[in-house]
Amino acid sequence: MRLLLPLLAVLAVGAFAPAQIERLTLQQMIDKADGAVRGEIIGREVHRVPHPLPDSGPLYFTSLQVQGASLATGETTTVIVSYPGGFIDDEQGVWNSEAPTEAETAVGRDVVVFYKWSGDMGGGFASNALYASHGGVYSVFEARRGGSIVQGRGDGYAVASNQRIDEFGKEVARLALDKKQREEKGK
Amino acid sequence: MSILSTTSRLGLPFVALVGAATLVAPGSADGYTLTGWSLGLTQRTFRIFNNFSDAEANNNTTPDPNFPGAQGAVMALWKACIEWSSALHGNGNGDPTQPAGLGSGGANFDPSYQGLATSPGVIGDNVIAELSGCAGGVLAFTESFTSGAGWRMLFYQCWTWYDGPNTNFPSGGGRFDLQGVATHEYGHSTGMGHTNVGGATMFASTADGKTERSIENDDIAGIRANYGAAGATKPRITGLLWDGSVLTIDGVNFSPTNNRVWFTRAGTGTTAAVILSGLASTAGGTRIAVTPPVTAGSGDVIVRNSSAGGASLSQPWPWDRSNIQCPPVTRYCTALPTPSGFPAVINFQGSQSVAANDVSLFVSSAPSNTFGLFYYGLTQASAPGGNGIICVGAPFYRLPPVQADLLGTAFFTYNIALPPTPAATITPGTTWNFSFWFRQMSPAGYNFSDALSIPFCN
Repeated sequence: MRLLLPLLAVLAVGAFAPAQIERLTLQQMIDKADGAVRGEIIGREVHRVPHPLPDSGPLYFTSLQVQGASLATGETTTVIVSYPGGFIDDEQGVWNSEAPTEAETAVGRDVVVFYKWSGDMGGGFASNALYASHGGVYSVFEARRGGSIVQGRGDGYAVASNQRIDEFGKEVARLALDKKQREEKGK
Repeated sequence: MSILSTTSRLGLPFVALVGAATLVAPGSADGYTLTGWSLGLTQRTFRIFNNFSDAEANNNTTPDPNFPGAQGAVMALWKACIEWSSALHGNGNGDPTQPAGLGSGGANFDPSYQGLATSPGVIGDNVIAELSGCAGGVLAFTESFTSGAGWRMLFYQCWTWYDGPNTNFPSGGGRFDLQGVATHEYGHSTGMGHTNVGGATMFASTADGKTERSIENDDIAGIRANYGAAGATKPRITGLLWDGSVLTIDGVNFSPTNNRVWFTRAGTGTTAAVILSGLASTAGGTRIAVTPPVTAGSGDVIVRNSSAGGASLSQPWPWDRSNIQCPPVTRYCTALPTPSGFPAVINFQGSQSVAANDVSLFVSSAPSNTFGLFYYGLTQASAPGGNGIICVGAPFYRLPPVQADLLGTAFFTYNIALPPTPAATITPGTTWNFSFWFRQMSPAGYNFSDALSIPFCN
């Protein structure tokens, strides 16, 4: 296992879909996002949207339906989050440098997602945007000694290193509460 | 040792998405990744649809000779792409953060700027544009065919984009450097994935207020892994001379025959470059002379030699169609002395511009008060004549006679709009040879000055 871990870690880095995204700490992510949910991906759909300008090819967006619980409040919820890119079929779709991989967003995966509402993600497509696209979805795995772990992605990502999901959830809740209090103070 | 403590020590994710490694394959254990495709020669072009809406994205109006005709977002994006070139773009200047350093890839990869587009187009049009809307923390993205058959790059409008070249814009508030982000995105277009090496251009994330515009060692290793390192036989341009008619391209490793020259297409049009084919080189494969077609506009020039693949392309070199440079005036032919013991010497004042029409010819060291005339033709000669050397070949054309002064100096201001005969009309792109014939006290009764070869331009 010891030997396997570095190899697997390298593969994980290689598996990230390319992107240029906003560099965020967890606190910055919480401050900017509308919410964070840990749950299972129960649905996945790719939308084709006309480009807002003439003589331009369509845009594609992938929407994930995530059923789980808010990390901020613990309430059960189902959210739909979307990101640019994806394939409807072999003929229709596009590789997008921002998008998470197919495997990271497969139906049945246990994930944490951060999202923010956008009335126009391009071409008038409105949805909760998966915040920072591939930087807004993190896989959750069962730990060998019990419990679950959210998989960190290294420097520059809101979840930089692996964390136990219960501890991570508490941190998110604390930061969300802090954000709420700051917002109320500012009113 | 628990998994957690192990992973904590590694500081990296402990569970890999083995099945997720679909499009992006690791290029090295710790560094660049490749998407699995590369761009063919027909996909090396890029264009810009300048719909960038921020004032800050188009407020750089200072011309840069390395990016002729461009300013604002167009210039910033042009710089971003050519940073991946195999060798310096012109003199490499244009970015204060990397003086004399634009063109750092050193790979068999060279992009070709093709000017402006009329829309963002479709994937495969290789156009860079702004996209209205916002998708959270996504700054920009590149859409590609996974076959390497082209791309489209879009920047979200919800950020404030700065065109540079200065780096003194404030951090925070969603302000991003257009050139820096575009350099990263163009790396994706070429088939580069992300790296985990901090400071590399292909690092996944960036903060606002940063100007990370240069590709770094890890990026260079990646582009070389994908396209091969530029070898010693790859063509390379070292300079251009544009006289308004003929573009002389100097460089190395041009093929004896069957070279091609790629030009930026004038105006807005298609992705395809303007290409002249079947060109021979001279001077041992170091010079190609071409007449650019009217469809070629200011932008970049690339030489493709007769070899195959990316190794056949030179780096892009800026060419400003409006900046006409005449080759220098050269002196040739050796005059024989006059009775005074000195040879007569011809000189030239004014410019080589036909439009300026300010040519003045003068001769010195001719006999005092003698009569003579300037004559000129297209060919050079060196034949005995009278008591001197005839330096201009026939047919030659005579200008009206003039008389030298006491010191043996004679002047003639030539209105080139009024040639002695239509065949003697001086036009841009032609080179004429001038000398002075004069009477002298000697057995033959006449002599000649030396000669000047004068190229004329617009």
